[in-house]
Amino acid sequence: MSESKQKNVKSKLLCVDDLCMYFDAKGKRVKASEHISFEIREGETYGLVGESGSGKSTIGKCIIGLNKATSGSITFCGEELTGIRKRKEYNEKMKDIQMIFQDPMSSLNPKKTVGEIIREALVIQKIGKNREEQEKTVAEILKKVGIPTEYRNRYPKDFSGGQRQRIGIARALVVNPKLIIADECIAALDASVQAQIVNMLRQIKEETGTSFLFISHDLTMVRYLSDRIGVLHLGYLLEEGEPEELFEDPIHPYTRSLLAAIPRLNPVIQPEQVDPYNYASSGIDYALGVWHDVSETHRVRCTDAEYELWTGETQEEISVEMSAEIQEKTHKKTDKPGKERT
Amino acid sequence: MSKMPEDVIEVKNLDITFKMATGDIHAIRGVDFHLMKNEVLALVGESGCGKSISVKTIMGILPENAVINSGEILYHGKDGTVDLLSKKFSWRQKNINGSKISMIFQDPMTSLNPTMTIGAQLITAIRSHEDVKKNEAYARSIELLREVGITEPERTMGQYPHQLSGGMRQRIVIAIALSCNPEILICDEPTTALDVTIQNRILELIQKIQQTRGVSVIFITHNLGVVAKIADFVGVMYAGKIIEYGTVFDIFYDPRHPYTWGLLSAVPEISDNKGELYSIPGTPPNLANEIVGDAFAPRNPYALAIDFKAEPPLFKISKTHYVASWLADERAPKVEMPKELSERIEHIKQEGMDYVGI
Repeated sequence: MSESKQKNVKSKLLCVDDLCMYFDAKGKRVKASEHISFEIREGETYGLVGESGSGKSTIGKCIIGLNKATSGSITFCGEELTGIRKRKEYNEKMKDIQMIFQDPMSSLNPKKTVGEIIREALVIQKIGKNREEQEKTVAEILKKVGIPTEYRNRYPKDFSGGQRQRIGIARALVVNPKLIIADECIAALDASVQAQIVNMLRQIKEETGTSFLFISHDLTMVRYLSDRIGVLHLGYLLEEGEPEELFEDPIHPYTRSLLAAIPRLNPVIQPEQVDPYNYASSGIDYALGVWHDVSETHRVRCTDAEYELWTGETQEEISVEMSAEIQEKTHKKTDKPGKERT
Repeated sequence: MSKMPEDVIEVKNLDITFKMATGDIHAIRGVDFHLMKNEVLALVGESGCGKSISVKTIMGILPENAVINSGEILYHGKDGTVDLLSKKFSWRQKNINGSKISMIFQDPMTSLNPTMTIGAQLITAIRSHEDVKKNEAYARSIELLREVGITEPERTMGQYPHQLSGGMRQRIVIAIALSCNPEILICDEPTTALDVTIQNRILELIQKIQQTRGVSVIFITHNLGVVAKIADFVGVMYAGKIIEYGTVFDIFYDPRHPYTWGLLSAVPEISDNKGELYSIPGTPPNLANEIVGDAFAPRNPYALAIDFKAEPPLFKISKTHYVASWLADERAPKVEMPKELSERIEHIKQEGMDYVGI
């Protein structure tokens, strides 16, 4: 599905190929992920966006093995994870993949001090010769995430939400992972604290070269952090591209509706009543879609006819659904229907 | 903030302390605001700044350990003015709550009864305030559900909350809040738990209701994008006080308080280029401790010496715009907002002008 990117094989860190994840509940099959394919390269941050129920968390959980994928493969550092049957072997691999969760309070053990919580990760992964060395690593990592080392003997309850999230990040970072999965890790925080955490993550990314899978529903924050973004809806990955391409030149009507819905920081701009995107009545069948390359990095999942409709001269017809503002942007773009990247 | 003839709610000098086992927490330290008829007032601020407490006081639903030290909440109804704080809770339940002032909460799942059908909850709400027959209440419920944009009201009447999506549930909560034709609607973070697309639709619904029914709305949120979309007036709260108050244009185009500058700078915009995101250094003060001077001073890069000694009064910038910062005093040195923010505001203004020009 990603032939065009085969040349990047060397730098691939994680490769998700044709992943399907179905849940069987009460005789009803819930299709959480449908034929998901994407890859994360070394040092890259990949953002997954979508509304609740779109299957973004399921993908993260499949990667770290909390969910067992129904079909498809996940390859990490050239090794296939989906083939591993033994929990122990899987856990060994997981040293290089760490996770940061949404709610820092429920993901930290309330009975342990912060120092113990972080050192526990080192003990489990058998990193560091002795206790002293591990304690030293803990102190270093706390300093890195901006928690004073004197606070190591305090309990999670003694910290604010932003500080707790810093501790969660420290715990993930302490084992030097290659990939960090951040599942809505800033959703529960205030705007100004969000900014602090996002800046810190960017700094960590630059310093350590760690790759991130950044899962979020907040498009503006995803844009700030990600090198590439994938848009999910109803279990399908619909569009993928670099932030500029996706924000300036969205192809899929769903991506457009998502962008149009972002509240603008401007009291004058009031997007006119957007005709909401409705999958059932839109006539689009995600299952029929195949990947179309818009540019080298930008691709969209749809049928040939849809691709023609969304990018071709019939632009005006569908643009009715879009907000006046996005509409204006795309009209400028349609001057060059080929959509080559310049 | 003098009394205007069209005010519907006036909160004056509200001061609230929470009695905790570990000591007192001075959560609200003198809050004044007024809500005008047919206007949307947004209260913004970080969590713990007292925005929810202020509106819960209007509804009289504070926790038991809260002590109201001083203040008045004047409700200007059709039959004259009452100070809500001087009335018993039972009187307010009967005469004000629900019928005159309604409230919508953040999490629709916890504000609906999971064991009752939507229909039963709507009918109960109507019949507990008005003496109407069951079938009349049923007919009105259907009408309300249609008004909040539910396409198959008859079917929804028989469903339970768990069968509906988050956005649908919030619509039901709004329908229940509207069931007795309130004059004032208080929305406490009604869209925070929802996705952007659903959030947008709920905001549009609240706007539509506000315009067609002419209700006044107090809207609590920490999302400045939502404020820009929905508000006429904005009150920025910090550490239990309103530190800046003005029209939505005053706050977005001409912010005066360094905290407001910080808030506006910290939000990423989709039209922005990548760069370091501004964040306000430090954390809000612990309200269990006595606050001397301006509560924001320790985090304020523009703090003056007086900020650490005396609390700034509310300075008047214009007829609608007030700010509690010593920087607004005429003796204070002239301080410009950060360059990045002024550029950003220029950009927002320009974008707005382009938009109107089209």
